[in-house]
Amino acid sequence: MVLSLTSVTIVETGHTPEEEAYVKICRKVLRKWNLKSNSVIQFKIGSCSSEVLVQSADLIPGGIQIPKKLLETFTLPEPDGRYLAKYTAKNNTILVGPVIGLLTDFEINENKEPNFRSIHAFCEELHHGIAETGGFFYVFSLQGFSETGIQGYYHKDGKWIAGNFPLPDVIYNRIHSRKLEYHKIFLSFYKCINSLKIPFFNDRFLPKWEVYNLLLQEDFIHPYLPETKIFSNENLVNMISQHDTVFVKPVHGSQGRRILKISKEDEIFNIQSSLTSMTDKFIKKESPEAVYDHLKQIINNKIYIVQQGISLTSFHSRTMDFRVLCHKNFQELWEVTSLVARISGEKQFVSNIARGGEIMKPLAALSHIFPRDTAREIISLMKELSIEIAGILSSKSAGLTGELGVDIGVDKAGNLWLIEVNSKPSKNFEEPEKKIRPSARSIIKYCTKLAFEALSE
Amino acid sequence: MRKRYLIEISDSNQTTVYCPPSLLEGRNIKKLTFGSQSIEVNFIPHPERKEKFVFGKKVAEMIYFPDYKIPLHVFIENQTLFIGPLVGIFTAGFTPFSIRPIGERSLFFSKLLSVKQMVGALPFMFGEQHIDWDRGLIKGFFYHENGWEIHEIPFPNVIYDRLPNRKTENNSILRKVKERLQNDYLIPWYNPGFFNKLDVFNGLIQDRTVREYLPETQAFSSVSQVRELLARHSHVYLKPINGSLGLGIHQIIFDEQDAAYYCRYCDSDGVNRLRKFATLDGLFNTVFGSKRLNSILVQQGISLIKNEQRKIDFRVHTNKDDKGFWKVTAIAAKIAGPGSVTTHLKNGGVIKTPEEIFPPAESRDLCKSLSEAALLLSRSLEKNMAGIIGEIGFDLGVGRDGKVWLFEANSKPGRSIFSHPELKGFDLLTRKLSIAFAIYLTEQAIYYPEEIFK
Repeated sequence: MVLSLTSVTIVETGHTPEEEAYVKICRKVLRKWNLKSNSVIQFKIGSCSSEVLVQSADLIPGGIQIPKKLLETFTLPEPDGRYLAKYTAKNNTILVGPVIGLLTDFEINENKEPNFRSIHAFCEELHHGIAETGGFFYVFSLQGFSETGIQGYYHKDGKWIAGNFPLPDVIYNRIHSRKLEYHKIFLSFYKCINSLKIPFFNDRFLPKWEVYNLLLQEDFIHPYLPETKIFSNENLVNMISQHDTVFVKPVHGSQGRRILKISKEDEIFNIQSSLTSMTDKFIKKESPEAVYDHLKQIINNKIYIVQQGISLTSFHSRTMDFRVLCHKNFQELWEVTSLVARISGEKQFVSNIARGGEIMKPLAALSHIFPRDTAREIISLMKELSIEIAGILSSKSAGLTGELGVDIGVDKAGNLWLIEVNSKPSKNFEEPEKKIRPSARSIIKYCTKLAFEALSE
Repeated sequence: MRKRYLIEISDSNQTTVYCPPSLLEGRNIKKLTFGSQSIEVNFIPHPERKEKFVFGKKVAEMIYFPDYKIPLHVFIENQTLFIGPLVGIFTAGFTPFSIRPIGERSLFFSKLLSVKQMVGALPFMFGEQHIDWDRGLIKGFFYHENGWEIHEIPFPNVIYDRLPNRKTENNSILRKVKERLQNDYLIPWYNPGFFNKLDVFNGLIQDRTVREYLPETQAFSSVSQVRELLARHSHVYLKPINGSLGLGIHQIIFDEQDAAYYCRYCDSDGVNRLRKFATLDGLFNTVFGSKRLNSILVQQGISLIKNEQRKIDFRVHTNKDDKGFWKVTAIAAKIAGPGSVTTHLKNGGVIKTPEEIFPPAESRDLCKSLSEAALLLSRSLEKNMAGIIGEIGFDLGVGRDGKVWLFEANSKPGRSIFSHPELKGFDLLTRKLSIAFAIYLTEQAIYYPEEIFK
């Protein structure tokens, strides 16, 4: 890895007074760091730091023995285990980490294990990945956060256990609710971690309208952007006279909720809603103005956008789109970690799995419609385009972005269309072939990079 | 500032061109020219005295003018009015797929072509197979709001060479096409070819103003030559004269303390290696074996400034602008991957802006001396190398004493530095200037042809 980190294993000792005096470090590691036995060094895990006397010893490769009493001051509940470490001559400090905190919203129930909702399994995956590469991982909510320490949950023996933790080296934001990110409790948390200089990535949901406008600044992206306007009488009427189908979506929506589809057939306008609970699922109107009046009631003064509908290719008459998961690597370059075709549930016009869809390998899905070599080109362009889009959005928006889910559709001519970009992409679309999937590995690497960069400052 | 004019196409079948009145004052213009296509038309001032052109679709068809509704430049000479410029970007490697016509380089070209509105030119991409010599037309690839479009257009005013590699440059068919377009059609051709690394040094060493930037560089001749160089410099580099992307680069270090030779390189499996040898002959026998070392150069190694024990060098990009002046368009620091012989990304290198690595004052001083060197080197290379050069990517190093060194000059610099989030803005600047330079060249070719074709 770029930061030249060393894998270390922390072991507790301190049964004799002699053992208590030193932090013993595997000979090879000490040599790698150009350190001499009996030097005095700052030793730092997470936000806790202590001055120690190091001694070279014949230990397991990467072994670091720390006296029990000292280890307790680091306030991690299970401090022994695998970590990554680095020595910086500038500060004469051995940095051990990363301590990674995942912020999300969940209910706290004294007697029960917490449920992190749609990312519950993903949190376990992150835990296992971090345990393997080195580091400590916990999950917390805004309620558990304070400037001096955090109450949250860590994973042990297959269970999530409550604990008190030091502040993390890096925070991964997986708050489920857009609303919560505007709440004052979030804003004061945000201010606090900024002043503490703790890297915080994917700091917010990206509003669709903002995404569209940022991408619009790049001329070469235009062919992939469906025409999009803010919902208003004039814009709606213009759009439905120009296009056969338009979608009306909330600016702050996610997971395909509350999307309306208006399609024109022989001058009759059909309005269809993604809300299955709506009794009047299909509505017919005879003029654009009537459509507007009807939608206005549903929208109820919230901010919505109107978007050109694209005749996307379908799979056995089920809507199909593609989710390209992109991650920033340690070189700050965007990479595609996963690409799947998403097939909507029957009679659904949004293909979100949350609404009953399923996933497929992209080449298999596209080869149903296009010749195989064309399908390959489409997939390549999809990846290249997603990397460009991720790059543009992350460099044009404030804050750190480490992952983005780019949703792309393909029309019947084989042209690509950007549907949406999600800064909190669902983890349920990646193929579950491996225990720790590439996207989890990428997140761990990115966390590690951010953590050690911040620690080395 | 040159003026740009909007061109409107009407439904008319007449060969009348409504012209900005100011352009007709005191002039007798008879011909309208777009690229290589020229027709006689009737110029009359715009009836509402607007500063724009309006002509019928008939005229547009006759000059093969694609209607992109962007303001273009105008040049007037010898009773002829030129609109454009029409800029051909010559490349190879086309695919039959309309969404990705040039394979993995498609998005790069779409970005390059997307500056047309900002710059006021009509750039298109073409290959040898798209030229219709008999009719004097080209099927050009344009990029617009709906993606890739093919239009038949005249031969361009200038050609920007974006052949992807040395192999295509040496292809005999492509070489003939290039010669024909330059010599028979007198089309100025810029960024003609990949530099030969040794020619670069041999050219620059003649120039007093840049000599101080050049590390000692020689064509490889023998092991004893390397030994002799190692006696003067603590380490040397061996590089393929026509290599790129850092492939095949070896660093040889002589360690006086243990009287041993070290060789650092990236092996055929992509693994960074550092191997120790008792003798230099042993090193050459083991590392190079029976490989022929005939197009290799040997270069004095420089002790570079470092960041956390990893060496740093710089990519400094220069472009000629629309006035024909050299400009520094990007400076990026490249940090070598751990144990890597080069700072290339694929060897684990990391790109940063100088401001990310150095304190503000130091970063400012560094950028100042790097810019100064890059501009002097650009002007010198332009004089010493064949063809019209519009952009150069320099690999520069800064020694621990602050002295700037030239390692390499690339006439077709890669774009990898621009993937860094902080350098995206410079990406746009270099794209803009590489097309804007075509405006300058077009102007030169129209007004001072003897200067270009001397």
